[in-house]
Amino acid sequence: MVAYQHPRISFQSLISFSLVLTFYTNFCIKDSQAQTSFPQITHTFPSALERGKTSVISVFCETSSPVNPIAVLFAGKGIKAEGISGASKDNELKIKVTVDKDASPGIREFRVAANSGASTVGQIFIADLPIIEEKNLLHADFATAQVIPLNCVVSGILGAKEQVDAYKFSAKAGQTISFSVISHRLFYKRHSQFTPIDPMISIHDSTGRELAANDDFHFADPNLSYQFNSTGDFTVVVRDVDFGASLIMPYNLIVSAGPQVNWCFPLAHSPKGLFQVKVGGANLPNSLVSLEGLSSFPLPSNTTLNTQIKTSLGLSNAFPIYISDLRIAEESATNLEMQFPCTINARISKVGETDTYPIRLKKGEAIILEIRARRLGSELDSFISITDEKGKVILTNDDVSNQTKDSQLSFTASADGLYKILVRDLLNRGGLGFNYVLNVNTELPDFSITCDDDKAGIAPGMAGAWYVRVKRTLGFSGPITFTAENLPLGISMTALTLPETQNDGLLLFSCAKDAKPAASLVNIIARGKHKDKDGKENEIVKRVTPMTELKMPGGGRSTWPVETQIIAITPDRDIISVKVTPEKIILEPGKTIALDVEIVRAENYKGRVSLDVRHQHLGTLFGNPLPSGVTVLDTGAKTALSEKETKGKILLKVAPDAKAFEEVPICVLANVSLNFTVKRSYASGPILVNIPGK
Amino acid sequence: MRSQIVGMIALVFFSTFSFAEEQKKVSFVNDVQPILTRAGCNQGACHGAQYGQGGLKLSLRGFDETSDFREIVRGSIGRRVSLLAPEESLLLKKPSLQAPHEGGRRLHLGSYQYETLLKWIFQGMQGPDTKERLFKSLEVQPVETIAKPGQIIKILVKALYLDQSSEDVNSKASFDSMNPSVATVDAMGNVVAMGPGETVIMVRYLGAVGVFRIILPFGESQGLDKFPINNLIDTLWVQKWKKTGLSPTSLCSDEEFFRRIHLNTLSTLPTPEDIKAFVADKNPEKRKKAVEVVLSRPEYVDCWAYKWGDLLRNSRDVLQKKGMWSQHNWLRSVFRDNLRMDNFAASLLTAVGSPYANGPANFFVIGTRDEWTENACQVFMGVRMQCAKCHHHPFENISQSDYYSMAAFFARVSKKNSTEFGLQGSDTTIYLNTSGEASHPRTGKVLPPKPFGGVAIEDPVDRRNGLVDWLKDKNNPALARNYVNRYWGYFFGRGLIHPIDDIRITNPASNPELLDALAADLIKNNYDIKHLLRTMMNSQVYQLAGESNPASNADGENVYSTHFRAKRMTAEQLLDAVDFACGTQEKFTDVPLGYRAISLPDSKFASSFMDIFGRPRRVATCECERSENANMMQALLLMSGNLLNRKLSEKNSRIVNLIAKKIPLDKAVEELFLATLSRMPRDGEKKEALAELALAQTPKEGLEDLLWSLINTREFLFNH
Repeated sequence: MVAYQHPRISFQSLISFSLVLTFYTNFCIKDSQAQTSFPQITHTFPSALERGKTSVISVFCETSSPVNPIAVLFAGKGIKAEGISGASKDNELKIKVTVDKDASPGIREFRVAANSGASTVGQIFIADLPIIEEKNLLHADFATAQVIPLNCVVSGILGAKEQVDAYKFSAKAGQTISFSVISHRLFYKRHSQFTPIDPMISIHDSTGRELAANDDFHFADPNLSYQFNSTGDFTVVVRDVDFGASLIMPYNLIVSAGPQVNWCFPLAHSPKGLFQVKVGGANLPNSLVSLEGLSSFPLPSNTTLNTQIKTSLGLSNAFPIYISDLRIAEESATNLEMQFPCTINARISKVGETDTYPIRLKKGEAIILEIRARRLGSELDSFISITDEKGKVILTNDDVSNQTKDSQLSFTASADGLYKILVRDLLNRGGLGFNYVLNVNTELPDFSITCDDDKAGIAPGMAGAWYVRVKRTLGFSGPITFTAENLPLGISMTALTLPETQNDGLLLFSCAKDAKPAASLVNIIARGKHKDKDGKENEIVKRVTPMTELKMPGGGRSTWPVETQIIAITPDRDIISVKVTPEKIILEPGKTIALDVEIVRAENYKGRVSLDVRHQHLGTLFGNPLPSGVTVLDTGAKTALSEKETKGKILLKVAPDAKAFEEVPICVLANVSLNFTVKRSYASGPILVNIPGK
Repeated sequence: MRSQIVGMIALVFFSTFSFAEEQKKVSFVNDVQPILTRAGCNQGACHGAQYGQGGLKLSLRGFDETSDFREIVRGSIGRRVSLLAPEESLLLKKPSLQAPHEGGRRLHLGSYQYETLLKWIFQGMQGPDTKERLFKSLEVQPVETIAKPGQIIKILVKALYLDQSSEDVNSKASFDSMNPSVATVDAMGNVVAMGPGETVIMVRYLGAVGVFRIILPFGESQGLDKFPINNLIDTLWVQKWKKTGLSPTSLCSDEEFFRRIHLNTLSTLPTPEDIKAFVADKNPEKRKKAVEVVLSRPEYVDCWAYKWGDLLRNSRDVLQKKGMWSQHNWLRSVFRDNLRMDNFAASLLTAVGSPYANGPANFFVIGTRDEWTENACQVFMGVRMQCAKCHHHPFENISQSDYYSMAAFFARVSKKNSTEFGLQGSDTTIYLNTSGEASHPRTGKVLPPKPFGGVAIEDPVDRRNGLVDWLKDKNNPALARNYVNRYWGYFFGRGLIHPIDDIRITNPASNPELLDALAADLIKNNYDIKHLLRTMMNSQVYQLAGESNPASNADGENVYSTHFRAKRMTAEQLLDAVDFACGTQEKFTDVPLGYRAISLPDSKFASSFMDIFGRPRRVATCECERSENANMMQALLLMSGNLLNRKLSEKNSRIVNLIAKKIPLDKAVEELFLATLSRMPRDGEKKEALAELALAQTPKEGLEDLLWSLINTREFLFNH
């Protein structure tokens, strides 16, 4: 560990990127010095909290300031935080956090609302073991190693290139100690996708001889259990595998002589009660064990929960299980016909094994098959197929998305018959750690929805925009209506109902002029209806999946799903208002219409502003609420406002064959670039778009 | 149909042939092709070249009979053969110089070969016939002979056919001596023993090759009865020395032995303290004990992870940094935990998953099916398969079918992108497709997975398992022979088969019995590589002195291990040794101080010193990529290069410490000798060194000059 530096300075110095782009990025930042940047959280230090304790941690942000915090909000229950007045620096916010004894262990998301805006997602590890901070001293070998007790979490930072952190501990002959790191797992959701750490650990004896090492276990995070042959002092060494460094990516080294669970079976459980499980790892009983830490039955269904086991050596690490409201079944060895809907607990127990599930379907009957394995910590890289009775493969799936290697398949039978569902490991591996959950259900018309963005800091009298995107399945064609839960007092959402012909929509949040600073984690709920075969109307209610923005090396923008979404009333801003006329438009097919935009700048903001009605970056549309057939014209429009300009124009063209729409809300975004990738968008009030029928 | 008509016409016009002769049909495959091969017509320098010669293109050494028949009979509008006037056929006139021929005379008028070709034309030029008996293998007798100069030995060559028939083919086979100064051979297989040495006579017939080994003793072996026998290595070399008339040199000193086992096993010089303790030890078993100690030292892991990193081409250039570290760390675990070497091969050849998370999966990141096939064969069997991709291997019984049958094991291996290490993690997944075949490029026939020399193997899960099972089969010595030969080469400076990754029938081992015995011993001991190293280092043969004696002078190349073959330290060993001698530590970019050259994960760490001394770039699996050649730059670098000067005078160097600790000069001289040459100075050396030190302006300068001199000696630069 090296002394912490001001993240703005250190971040710039750490970017190993092309000179041109670095220059450009610096230029952009310089050019818009007066901007108000929302807190872009990089990390906390320490990056772990102990259950049942109150601790002080620092939240670090990449740019801008988290000072004058309005609220710090943690996902889930059992964690409360308060800012420590006067203890914050430019890019560092000190907060006092109390974690209840029964708070769920594992990685938690949190958000900070400050005067400057609502933050990107932050993450912290909730542990049962005491948290030890890495000392700010060189400790690279046995002689200089920082001494730690067994059963602790060391929070450290590999802040300097080629840094190696050694920790000395005592072990007894025959004792098995587990070492694991949580670091890179926090990277997927981190706003800045620069300078990740790929941690690696090794165990050494007092002469420096390497006894064991591990680089990647939980993806890029290492984990190993080692049984010591002799009593004595040893070191565990943490490094980046390539001796890289990152001041914005700490690690949690968990050193435990207690139970370590690497796999659990079964993985799926009923909401009404918990079953006993078999577990694999280190210091574990051979017999079935009960799961700890889950209460308030029934448990929320179709969710992943972290749980633990308890032995005479203490509580284990947290590991995930899945709660299903379907009938839970075990893998059958007899190839009996499957009765569905159901959730099957199964395992690919040996190399080359394929699990086969016969299923009888009628012509036109649709089913959805979902594997949950990798997402539950299993080693399985699932591959699912469906065959006809003769074994001819009809449909396969490897990965449902680029975020997981779990498989999912929707299938509609073309004829009455006995079909077979086949599940195997893509790599033909198998073993005790290759457990999975197979959900088999009748597939009905359905939808899933994502929402970009996951944060909105809105000043009184202003508005903030999020964009939803619908994926409809099995012919779901009805309208979808959106509502927001848990909005801060003073925030309201413009009603949105997406017609069947539209999949992108705008969620516009307006803040009352007299609203006081406040913040809350919100849920966006989508509702739709469909009629079943008997004509009965069923309502589908879904929580929208928030997508957080990722700032990619190279200037790109990407997104990743997160749990939390924050809306905050935050006073600081660069734009005081965005006015658009007309506020209601009727778009005649084949015609062009102009939206006149006038912005009012904050007194000290002289930077450039770009105007848009879509949520886009470098040509990629992340949200486009315009009705289909409506496009944005560049020629004749004025969307780039230079330093002194306040007026612009957006031109919309309607295709001659555009379909009819009524009251579809759009807004104009006045975008202030914070750097090459990141913008802060100030939204106008809603503009209701109508396209009359022919 | 056309050939049938032509045949009938020929029968009518040329009825001068006897009935008996007509009965004996000349076979294109079994008669014509061997004659063309024997005459050299289809060799690489002639019509077997890629684009042929003079308009006639034949397959290299006749591996493609269909194409060759078409080319001879129908090529150039059929003008190469004349049915109406067979003697006028260009096929006969050119090689017999009745017409101009750039390739010179290849056939003599009236010879058996000429007459056979003539008869084949007369008979209507029958092409390859599926009903013909099929060639199975070649038998060469005798296998080995110990001969005297001038002695003539007749080789008998027999072709064995699948229908159980056989045929003496001396007149159709071709013969080549691998070393004419030892023995020559004529066209009929008559071998004339020439001078002392050992060589093989290569026999080619159709696609097969066979060898006859001839040994002409160098002289009379001496004192072999008294040669101490520590293990099978000693026993089998004594037998070989008796055959070759060679005698071993004397045993090396304790210091030489100690230095040797450190450099061979650890790529590391021993410390002065360890040397003194070893020399002072009176235990008669101390060499055995020392072997055990080096085998358990942590540098063992560095040394062999680096060596195998060379062979597996571990480099960030192709694997990215993450993949390179992943493979390196896996190699470290292999040697740290002394993984069975058959399982080591299996882990690599059947690897799946993320190359980032699973080190051996990087084997499949580089290249595609054919490259994996060739690499697998070269690294784990020491066989260079590349030739057989396009034609029969000219020096081994490996056909194109063998190549693609081997490739079939890897035909279903595939790669796809993965984001498990982040959206920009650039990870991949190595997995198996459910389909994918290897087809013969000429026939288009899909070939089943089959190791050469083995039978077709199908594995329902992963074809590669079949290959690995075959490799690991206790009755198959291919993998063990490869390991033994490699490690023998690493420890003795020259493989029993040389080059060490060119194992083939026409490149036999200098001591085949020993190679087989060590391979069997390795298999018996569960592919425990440390067992092999222990066996080698504990042998008397390994402990022979580096200097040859008069009785072993004839073995100049040390083919017969009559003395220890001195070998210059590798680039990495040398840089570390210079650091050790100077008491300094080279700092490589991007790894912490303390990383030695032998512990680096790849060869991309900038070091002009190591590049000049032949550090490989890791772009080939061939052992030959590491240059052992001496050059002027190396000499200049050591004599006046910046690196050595910098290290000699660096803060905290060995000399600075000696001065700071006020070590008496005679003791300082001893330490410098021990730190460089791994021995105490001899009386004369010490006296001379002290005299030079007395003339120096300061003791520091004097010691620096002495250390510079020692580093520039051959004794330092070489493992001897």
